[in-house]
Amino acid sequence: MSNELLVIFYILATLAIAYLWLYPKVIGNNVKLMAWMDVVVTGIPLAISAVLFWQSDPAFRLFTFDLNWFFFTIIAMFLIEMPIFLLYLKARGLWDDYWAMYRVAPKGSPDAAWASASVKSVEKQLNDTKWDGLRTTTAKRTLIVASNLSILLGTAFLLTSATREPGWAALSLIHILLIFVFWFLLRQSVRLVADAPQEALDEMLLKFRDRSYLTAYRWLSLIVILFVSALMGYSVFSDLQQMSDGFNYTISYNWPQVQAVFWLLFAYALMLPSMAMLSQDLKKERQRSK
Amino acid sequence: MGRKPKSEEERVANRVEDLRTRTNLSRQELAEQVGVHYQTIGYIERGEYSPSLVLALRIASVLGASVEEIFWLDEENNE
Repeated sequence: MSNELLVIFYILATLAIAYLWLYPKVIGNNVKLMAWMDVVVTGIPLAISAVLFWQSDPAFRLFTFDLNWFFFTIIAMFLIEMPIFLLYLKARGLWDDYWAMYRVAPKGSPDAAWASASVKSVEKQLNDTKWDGLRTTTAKRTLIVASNLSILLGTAFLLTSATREPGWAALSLIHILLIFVFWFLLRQSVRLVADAPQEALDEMLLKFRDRSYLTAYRWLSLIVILFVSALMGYSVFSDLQQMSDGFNYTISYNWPQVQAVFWLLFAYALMLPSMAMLSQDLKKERQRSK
Repeated sequence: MGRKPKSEEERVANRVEDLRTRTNLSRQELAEQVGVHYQTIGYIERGEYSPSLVLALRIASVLGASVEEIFWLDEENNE
């Protein structure tokens, strides 16, 4: 028996036990427990593969790709289990309950795909006083400046000096961690309103949220325009070089630089709505104090 | 024909705070009765937010007055 067929055999055996006995007889309709048990069930074929193939590390053929035991097992498991899993949810009437665990916005909400805060968490935040220290004028200004500095300095470091620094990987992890810390703080400062589904907001908050997205889109488009203009500038500049054929360009960039571009755009996509909302708040506070 | 710049738009003045205190309602209580967050009532009272017609009608109903008695265009302060 080839190694591929052997792996598929014990995947099928594991799934048979899970879907014919464990889920229906033991777990029942508890979708939360089912999700956790699915992690355990996925771990069983992986553990068997590790025991059998860790040392020898043979190549596994999947369609046209050669994979190691880990990726072959996990991809084969996913491809075989997914249709069985979806059919099981349908057949047992668990479809809505299962997906409701991962849904942040209420079912049918126009914000279902985008909201990253639940109605319950926004309602809690709207009456929160614990994070009021982040909602003073000074704190709002500091948050905007500090989060931008963190993103830009981290990006500059990865673009320019990462390859020369021996500990660049650790510093890039700090950069990524800071992105999520500032995202968290910005969200607390605006009481999650920028990331809330419309069902959690009244008409004024909805208007503020929508206005924030308009502003955030304009800022993000500016960042993207600057980025693609730099690319265009580089191409035009390359044309002036003697070696250029005027059509083909070579851009060489290393892994830290890929990280820099990815996390720059990712961070701004996450944070700009909250930053825009904070800057609107500051503008209102300025008008109020006049 | 078009919308005026925000700075030139007519402000909407109101007597929400006056009528609310007369009816012994806190911002939170009024907010709950009209279905908004209490901060929204604060914004309306300070004239920083003009409510929708539906919200204005709800506020008027809770405060026992007509919409015109509570909200009006503040032309004096727009000059």
